[in-house]
Amino acid sequence: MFIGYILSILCIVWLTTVLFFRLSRNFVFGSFLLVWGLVLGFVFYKIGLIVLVYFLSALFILSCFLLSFYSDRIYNYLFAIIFLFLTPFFLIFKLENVAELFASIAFLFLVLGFIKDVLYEKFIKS
Amino acid sequence: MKNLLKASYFLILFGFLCLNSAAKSDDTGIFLKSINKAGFKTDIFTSTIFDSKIKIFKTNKNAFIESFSLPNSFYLTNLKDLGYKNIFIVCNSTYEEEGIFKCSNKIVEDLKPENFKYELIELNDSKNKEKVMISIYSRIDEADSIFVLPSNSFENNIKIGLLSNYLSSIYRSSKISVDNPNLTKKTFSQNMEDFLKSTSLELLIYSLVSLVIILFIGKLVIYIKNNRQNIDIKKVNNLSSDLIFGSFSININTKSFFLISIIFYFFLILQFISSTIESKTEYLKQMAVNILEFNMFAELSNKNYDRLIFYSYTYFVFFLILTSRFEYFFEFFQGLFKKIKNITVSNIGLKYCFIIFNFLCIVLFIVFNKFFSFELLLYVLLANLYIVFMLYKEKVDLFLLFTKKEKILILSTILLFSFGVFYYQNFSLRSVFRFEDLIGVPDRIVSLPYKKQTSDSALFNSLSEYNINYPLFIDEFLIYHPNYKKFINKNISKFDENNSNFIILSKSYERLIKGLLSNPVIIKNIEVSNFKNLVFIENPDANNISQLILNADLNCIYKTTNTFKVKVYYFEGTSFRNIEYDLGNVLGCNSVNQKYSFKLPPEISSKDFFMFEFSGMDRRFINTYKFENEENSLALKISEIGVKNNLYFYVTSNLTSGSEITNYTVSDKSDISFDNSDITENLNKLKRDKYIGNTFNVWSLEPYRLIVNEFDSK
Repeated sequence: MFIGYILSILCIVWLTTVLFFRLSRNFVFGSFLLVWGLVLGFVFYKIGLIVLVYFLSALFILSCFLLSFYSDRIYNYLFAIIFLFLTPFFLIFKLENVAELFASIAFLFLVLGFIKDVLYEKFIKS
Repeated sequence: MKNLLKASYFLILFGFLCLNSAAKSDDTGIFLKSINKAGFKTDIFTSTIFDSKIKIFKTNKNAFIESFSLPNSFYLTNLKDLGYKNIFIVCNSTYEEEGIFKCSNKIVEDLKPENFKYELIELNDSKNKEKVMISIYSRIDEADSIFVLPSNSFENNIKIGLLSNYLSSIYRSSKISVDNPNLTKKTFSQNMEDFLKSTSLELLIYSLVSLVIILFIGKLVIYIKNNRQNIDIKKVNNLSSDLIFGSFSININTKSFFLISIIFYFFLILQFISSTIESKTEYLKQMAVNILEFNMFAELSNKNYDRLIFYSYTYFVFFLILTSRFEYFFEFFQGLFKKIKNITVSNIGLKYCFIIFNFLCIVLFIVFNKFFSFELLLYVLLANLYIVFMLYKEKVDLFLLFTKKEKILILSTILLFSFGVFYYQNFSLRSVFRFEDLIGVPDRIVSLPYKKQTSDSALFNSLSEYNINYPLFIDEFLIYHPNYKKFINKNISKFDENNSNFIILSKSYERLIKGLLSNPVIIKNIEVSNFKNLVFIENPDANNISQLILNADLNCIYKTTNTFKVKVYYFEGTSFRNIEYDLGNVLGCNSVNQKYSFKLPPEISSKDFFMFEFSGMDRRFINTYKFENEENSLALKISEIGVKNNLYFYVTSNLTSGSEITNYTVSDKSDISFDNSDITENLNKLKRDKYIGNTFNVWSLEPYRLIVNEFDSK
């Protein structure tokens, strides 16, 4: 019941410590890994081995996001157009589910392109 | 090359012919496909235990019988003895199950059996003016049923569609058990089911599909982008060939092999999708599930050669496509990791991301208990880990990254916001609920029992759109009965003798008997109908009787491999006990009825009251039974009652008209009464006041009552 509150307090304490005290890089990284491990351990205890499936899928999804973020901006828009172009063909062949999937992916590529345009310059050193 | 092509064409033709003949020889195909489409996983076996061969599609607890040209007898009763939960029968010729029903390929006639409850379900497709009639015989003492269908119910796609909808709902309901998963840890497969319904899977599919498409056309797109002004057609051709054949584009032989294997697979799919199946996309989905569950040895032992060929070949094609992309896949990920490794992130980007993700983490930790969505937490934590890793890699000093003013502002905002979320969650959120539908599946037919999984903050939308004209229970709470206005839920220890309308229920059969036996006054008020399976003995001369003898007379037409048993329940002081005695095997006989005699041990004979039941055989075949002692002078008072079962075990009083009905339970849950017949309000009251958890069962006294039926004629 209180595990969430304990973790949030732990996180606030960690944040205060690393912001207000000059600590070594190893300490910052190591202590964060400790908090991270605690959370993962708790979730593992709560839901079991399935956490690995969630973890791997999250890792894969975030890697895909990073790939699109770091690629040339034109590819996001190009793939959005390709997926958008394919959508009506699936609709013609009455494969509505596939068409919906492709339309969603087209939209996601557009969003990724937009995110990249807005944030890339701020995030990446030229 | 020519020879290779010739051989391939021959292979295609041969496979085509093989599958054609296999499909034609399968006369039970439509029924089997309907069952599979509904979700039942079946193995076919031919049974010879009843002196005659019948083809049964069996699942774990369900039996499906199509070919039913058998002599009239008690085959179904025998099947029950084998432990099947539900039996689905398609009558393709005249058959009579004695005392239960008569059927032909067009009609089912009810013979009004005593131990079965009969219900006729009519599914109407008003648009196409087609209807299907399903006769259901539910055994009163067990939560199982016999579904009888004339074979003309499968004569066209519309009828098959109606039946598939119905069978799907039965499949879902038949899987539901009384155990509350809140009390036990979920299994890996249950968690996997949750994962398959989660947002993670959706995102994973998006990412995978995008990645696959990129792996296929990525090189071509990059080339066209980089050489917009000067596109070389030869190069485009090469890249297109790469796109189709992948690693198999080395020479013409490997290309032909790859192409022919794929074309042959399309032929196989066309053969496998039957023209009788209503929705091809649904069938393809089912096929994908079957591919995952394919067991070569099981198919071989069942001699399903067409399935064996098809699914083995499917795996081969998967393997082929995978190997064709293997090289690109590694190239792609190598490039990706190189790119990520070489990226240098700006301090300002890291600064904002660090604060945003840590802030999100804290908020998610606070709402951790209320909305336990570790999925979102996992994403935020992973992103946070990446940011912290980048800080480490870029040798950024967090102390110097923020000014003193910024640090104070950040911390005070986080503290204020965290306190706000904490306050909102614990003090205000109690009155804030999210409304959702009780039936969360989009199916057109939904039967009870139905397991609902929801969250702490959920309440339910109006139930008026559902077809509820029967008693409705949520776990062990009665929230609606069409004949009464007030519904009282109480513990059995508070039993009121003056109460004439009541139901007593329990998860456990023995706990129910214990409850009844601990207060024998209840038994006098229980409904006495034709159906009885439990005998209550009141023995006023208990002190004078040394030994009771039970004599039973069995109908000899009944034959079973089971052992005929008597189970006695009694109190020894304050502790509840039961003992089971074997009376012997019921081997059947030719003309004379079988007689069994059993001496009850003195510790039971001398009890003031006890209960007993016959087990191991159908009660219909016990003609008479009586208790005697050596002197033949007994003043025993015998009351027979029927403990019914559908999810819960229950007994009812002789329900008469009145304004209120009481539902007694043997569990320790608090009492609750509902003064109105608004089902929605009663359900929400249960949920809001935490009488039920986030997972509960919605059920009625009789099995497979329909709560959603879009094919209802009314």
